[in-house]
Formats: sequence, C-alpha cells, structure tokens
Amino acid sequence: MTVLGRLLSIVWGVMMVMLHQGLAHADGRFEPLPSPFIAQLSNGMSVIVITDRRAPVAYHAVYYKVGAADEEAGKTGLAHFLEHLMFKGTKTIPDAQFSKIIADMGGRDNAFTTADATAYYQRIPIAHLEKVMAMEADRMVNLQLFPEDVASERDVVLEERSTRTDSRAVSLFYEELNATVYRNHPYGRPLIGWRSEIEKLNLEDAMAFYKKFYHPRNAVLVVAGDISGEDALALAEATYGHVTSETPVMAHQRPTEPPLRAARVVSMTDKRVGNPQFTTYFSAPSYFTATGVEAHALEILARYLGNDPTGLLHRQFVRQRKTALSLGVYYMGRYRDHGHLVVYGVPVEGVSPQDLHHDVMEFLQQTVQETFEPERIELDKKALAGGALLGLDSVGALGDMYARTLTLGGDVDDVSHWPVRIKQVTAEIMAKVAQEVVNTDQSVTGFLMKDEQP
Amino acid sequence: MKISWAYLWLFLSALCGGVQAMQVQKVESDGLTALLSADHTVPVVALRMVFMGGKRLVAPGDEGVGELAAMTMLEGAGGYDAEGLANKMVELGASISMDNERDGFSVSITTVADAVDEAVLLAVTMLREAHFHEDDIERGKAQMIAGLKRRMVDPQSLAFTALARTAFQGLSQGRTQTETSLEGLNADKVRAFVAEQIQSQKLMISLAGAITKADAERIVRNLAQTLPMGVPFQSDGPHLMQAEGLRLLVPQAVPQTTVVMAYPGLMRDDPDFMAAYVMNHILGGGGFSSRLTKEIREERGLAYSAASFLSPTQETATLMVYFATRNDAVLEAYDVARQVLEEVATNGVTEEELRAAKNNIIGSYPLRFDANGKIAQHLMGIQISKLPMNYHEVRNDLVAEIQIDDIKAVAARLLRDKIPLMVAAGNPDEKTFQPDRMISSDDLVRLNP
Repeated sequence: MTVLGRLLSIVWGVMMVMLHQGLAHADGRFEPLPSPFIAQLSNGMSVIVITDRRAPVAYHAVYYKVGAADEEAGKTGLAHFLEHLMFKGTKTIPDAQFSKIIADMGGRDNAFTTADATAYYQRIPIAHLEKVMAMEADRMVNLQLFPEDVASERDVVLEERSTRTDSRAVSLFYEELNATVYRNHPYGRPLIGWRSEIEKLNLEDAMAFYKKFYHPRNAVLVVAGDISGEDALALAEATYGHVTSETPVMAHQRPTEPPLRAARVVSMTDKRVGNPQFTTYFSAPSYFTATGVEAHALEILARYLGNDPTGLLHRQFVRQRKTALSLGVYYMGRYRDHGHLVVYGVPVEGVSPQDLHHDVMEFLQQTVQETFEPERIELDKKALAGGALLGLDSVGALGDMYARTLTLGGDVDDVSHWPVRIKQVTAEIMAKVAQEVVNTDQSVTGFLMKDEQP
Repeated sequence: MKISWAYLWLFLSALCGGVQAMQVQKVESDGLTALLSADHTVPVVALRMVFMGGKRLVAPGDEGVGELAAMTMLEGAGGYDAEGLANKMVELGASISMDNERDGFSVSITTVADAVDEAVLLAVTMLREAHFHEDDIERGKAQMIAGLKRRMVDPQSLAFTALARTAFQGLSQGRTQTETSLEGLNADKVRAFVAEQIQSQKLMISLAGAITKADAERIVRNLAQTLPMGVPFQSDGPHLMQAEGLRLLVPQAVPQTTVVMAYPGLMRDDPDFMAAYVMNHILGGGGFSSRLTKEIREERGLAYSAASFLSPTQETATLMVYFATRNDAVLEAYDVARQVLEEVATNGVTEEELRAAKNNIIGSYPLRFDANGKIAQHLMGIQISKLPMNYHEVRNDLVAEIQIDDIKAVAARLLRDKIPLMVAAGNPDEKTFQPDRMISSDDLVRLNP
C-alpha cells in the first residue's frame, strides 16, 4: 500500500475554530474550509476522512464514479436498478440481510443514484465501522443475484417511477423538458429510466454493468466521525484493501452535446396541473467544466437575480409588476459535463406563462447588459458563504462534499477554497458570465399549462 | 472537545445507556421557562419558540390565517421592509423563520453565537411589529392558493387531506386550508390572530449551542418583558378519530393509487406509548427491516415504500399505514397490509424482532443529537409532550424495559378486530376496490364540510 496524498489531518475542533472566526468576523466567512485526510489504497481506491469527535458515530459512504449518464442507449434506468439490487445479498451476507445488520447496529443506511455517481451510505455507532467497511467491501465484488429477486425489484422500481414521475404532471413536464435540453448527451435521459426500458432490464444487464464499473479504482470512500485519519485508513486497508480487481477504469464515454443554435420550446397541458409555469434553461459551464471562478459567479448570479425578496427579477415581477406569483433562478452546476442556469416563473391568474416568460426574458437580457450593483453582490456572497458554513453543522456534511466533488473529477481545493473563490468574484466577472450565458436564442423553455376541459 | 454524547453502546445483556453527556438546564425568568443545552463546540445557537395554539386557535372558516401571518412577518416589520429584514439577517449571520403548525405557532432562529441577542430582537420585532400591508397580504394569499392547488394534484397530499377531514371532522385537525377560507382572509384577521397567539403565557422556548445560562436567562427575560402576556392556551382534547371502517376514494387519473389506513393510536402520555412505539418500529417504522416493507415491497414488489407511523398530537392520536401501488393491485396490497397487522395483533412479534428493534431504536438515539438544531427541536418536543427534562438519559432504559408481552398487549389493544379508515387517492381498478364514499379533489380545494 502506498499513501499517495496525505494533505492534512485535522480534528473537528480546528475546524470549529475556523468556523468561529468565519462567522464572528464578517470577512472570515470567506476563509478556506478545512481539508480532509486523504489517501489512496494500493488497489487504487480513494479514501477521505474527516475527524469529528462530537458523537461516537460515523458516517460511512462509498461513491462509485458511475451514474445514469454512463448507461448504454436502450438501457435507461440500469444504474439506478443496480443500486436497488445491491441490497439483495452476497454469498456471505445473503437474503437482503445487509440493511438488517445495519439496523441491528443502531444504524441507518440507504443509497442514491445521480447522473454522474452512485453512492451507498450508512450512519452507524463508531464501534461498528470496521464491520460495515467489510460488508461494503464484500458487496463491491461479490454481489449475488437470483432471477426472482430481480423480477420483484423491477416491479418495485416501476412503482417508484409511478410515485415519483408518472403520478405527477410536473415531474413528467421536467422529464420532457430535460429530454429536450439535451439532444445528444445522456443527461437528457431520465435517471430512473423510461418505463418501457425499465420493464426490460434484467439480471444479465445488471451484472454486466456491475462488473464494468464497481471496483476499487472507480470508488471513493468517505468516513466522517469519531476516528482519526490514520485509524480509518488502517481499517480501510484491512477491509477494502483486500479487494483485488483487474478491471480497468473506464473513461466516461459519453456523447458530447453540440452547441444549441435555435431556441427550443416544450409545451405540455395536463389536467393534473396545480399552477401553470414556465421554465427556461440556459446552457452554462458546470463547476467541473468552468474556467476560473465562472461557476462561482453563476452561483452568485442566481441569487442576485432570483432570491426572495432581494433578487432583481423577483422584485421586478413578483413585487413591482405583480405579474408573477413566484419567480426564481437556480444554478445547476454540480454535473461532470454540463451546467445550466435555470429561470422559472408562475404567473398570477390572468397572465399566461408565455406572456410572463416573454417579459422576464426581455427584462433579463436588458439586466445583464447593465451595471451589476457591487453592494448587492457583496450581500449575496456573504449569504452564500455564511449559509454554507452553517450547513456544516452535522456529522458527515463536509466529508460528503469532498466525496461528491472527487467523484465528479474535482479536487480537494474545489471544496476547501469554495468560499475563497466566491469572494474573488467581481461585478465585472458576473457581468461577463451573465452576458455569455443569458442568450435567449440558445435557450430551452418549457410551458406547463392546465387542461381546463372537464 | 467539550462535548461528546458519551452514550454507551450496549447489547441486550446490559441495556442501560442513555445519551449521557448532554446537560439540560432549566432557565427561568419573569414567569417564563426555557430548556437549554449549552455546548460551545460550534459557535452557533439554535433557538426555538412555540406559542401553543397554532391551527387549534384558528376560527372555523379562517383556515390558513396563521400560515399567512407567518409568511407576511418576513415582508416588513418595525423600521425594516422585506429587503431590509433579509439583508439584516445576512449581515448578522442569522436565519429566522416562522410557521403555524398543528399544535402551535413556531419560530426558529439559527444564528452565530455573537449575534444571538440581535437575532432574537429582530424576531420579536417581526412578531410584534409586522406591517401586514394589504399588498403583501394579497400576494401571500395568492401564493397560498397556488400552493394549495399544487398540493391538491399530488396523490399523497390528497390522501392525507381527505383522511384528516374524515377522521377529525369538526375538530381543528379536520379543517384544512381551502380556496374559500384563504380568499376570505385580510389584514384585520391576521392581526387578530397574531394578537391572540403571540403571548408569553402560551410560549415555550428551547435553546441549544454556544450560549451560557446567564445569556439564556437574559434572552428569556427580554422575551417575557417585550411580549404581551395574554393567557395560556386551553386545549379541549383529546378527541377520538372517527369513521373507522370507512373506505374513501379521491379519484385521480394516475397510474398508481396511494393508500393511507388509519387506526386510533395512543396519546404521547399513554402508559403503553413506548410499547406501541417499539411495535410500530417492527411493523412499519423501521425502514428496510420492517414487516410491511418485507411483505409488500421485498416479497411481492407491490410498492416502492410501505410504512407505518404513530401520529400523536396534542388533541388526537392515530396509527397510520401508507403505501402506493399499481391501480390493479390496491386490494391485494391492502389485504397484505391487513394480514400483517392482524398477525401482530394476534400473535405479537418474535423475540428476535424485538431484540433487533430495540438495538436499532437504542443504538440510533445519539444520531438525533448531532446538530444544534436537532437538540433544540428535541428540547421543544419534550416540553410539548410534558416529558421530564432529563428524558434523553432515561429514554433508552424505557425502551429496554419493553417485553414481548407488552408488545402483544398493545398490539391487541390497537389492532385486534379493528377495521381502519382507508383512504385511496388514484384510479383503483373497479373490480377489486369499491369505496363507500368518494370525495373529489375539487371538494378538497374548495370548502371544508
């Protein structure tokens, strides 16, 4: 085993001193966040440890660098389906015992799938950390699936799709919109999969995907809690360290998205619509494709435009013109390949989503050409950096941020220096990024309308 | 480190651990009482206030008035307009939010320790000197009506709303926001609600984080001296749930039917409550390892989630079962759920299930205390439920004491020969499911019965 990178091991106390300085003195909100203990096992698995001694508990998670965007065409939903099947058992821990053993420890476990990552996590009393690591290492390579498990779990996923998507018009709307935003890149496919394709997923598909992507070199381990970096690393060596695999790391072979040359519009009408709305996507860099502090500028821009009650768009349409009931802006920046700036609005009664959209776009294009107000930007920066610090008040939150970022191809500095980079954003950078991104000729807009027919 | 939740991780042979290190103190001043857990690890203070009453205090026909008050308090108060309030919070490093809940009107403050006095002062300004401009009231109403319409196309919201209306008809819990009630609200009604609700005699306070007892006392004193005193809230509960055995349908054109089943439950102060809590954990409260999940999800693939929960409030108590299944499988899933409940009612649970449930309930207790906000919430919960202030030290012992016969007895009491109120929202197959009564989503939006 070789420890490649050991940057810094800190205890929670140090972090809290920084948090204290950060919040007690206004400027200190922009200090770097504490770095984790970081290492790599000889089998290539990355290890991140955040020591946090407030409670005798641990947050333990394994992130795989594979998500729904890595599925082959025709097999949408496979990454998420495999995530479900990972709870079915191995030779040594059969019969869906994994979660029951965790529960017996006084722990909780679950998993999630995104476009770029699949993660399995547990919150447990620290005494059981080694056992949990051994169990997670076991299911990294020893998954055992039986046809009857696969069939019933596929029904479960179909019900999950019914709950999350098919029973909600607004979810179907966003599925359609997303499929239009991406014409070529697999981000346009629904994470949970198209129903007709989920129905055909089978044991062989799942095992093939599993063997291709689940191995130490493609995994990031994160431990946060009542343990030192060295001790956690020793436990990782004793468990994950024994997993040998010759599987090569697959490059993410994803079709690229060509530039959009025409605005696109999706219209959907459904009886089950509570509020008509519009949503507009502007193509933008993500945190992982941006240069400099572009992504940070977009994060601030979203708040600068959309925050209730201070955002310029929000004020203009909700409070002054009174044509919108609600209006917001958010930045979708935490994707490996693409980002978006998203504007949405719900019109007041008597105003159509099309008219509201038209006025908002006109105002937005004008706004990005005008001077950005430095005092407002400073407040937005303080709000973002301060909010991020307050958000760290739970065991595992910071470790998770590091793991997500490393899984998507970022590095430790991307997390630790996030507040510093937020501070570096100037009115000029904001204006430049805003003018590049806000281009209605290259946007995708969805209109969701209520079917009033009886 | 100043603090660690030095609870003891012990198996059944020696179950005696609690969350031991947390020191809860009573803070009293000018007739007001607060619970405090001081801990200086993180320089943040979480403060929670609940004025007892909440939705119970709302006059019939005015449903939504408390929520509108909570929203509009952020729109301007004292010398601040909406932006001024928002900017002041950013400068302080504080967040303040209000909500009108089932049992009381709540105020949540999270703030940098240094700014706690200013943050509380700002909150008091919002509670006492909100402007309630006509403009802001009208916008708030329109946003709430939009929110109502959005919820009333969601099968889960439809099912739970229809359930509340039917099980608690005539009680505050059975009255939900409607378009009619919201349209009838105005600034005078909001002011009248606030005058009746924001009174120190109705107030409970909890604090957690980097604050000394002396500082907490000063805050409590300031609150006592600045808030009108008023009168304590008088509850007229408890009340029993109604409509056992009824099958209700909210028709909705969706591919899946959401089902909620409700049984009369136990109030929080019932001597059998803890036994019922452990029973519910085994039944459907324990996530992946519960009986309902095993039978409905794992064995038959009928639902993505199947769960049960106890829902005790200050006025009522229910035990509910939830699942969502294919339209053509509603009866099958319902029958499976009923069988699971009957089995527990008749034969209780196994020693192994009880052991595993206790391990999980006891072992996971410290996870409830790993952030200041969670601790403040806990300290509020024990005040509302009238539990002792050292409850966190004794709670695990209470769980450990539960025996297999206790579970059997409480299961029989709650579930044997009982037919639940069943509410389905969706488009269930007519051949397998016939409701006794239907209620449309439009009815739920428009008017309370």
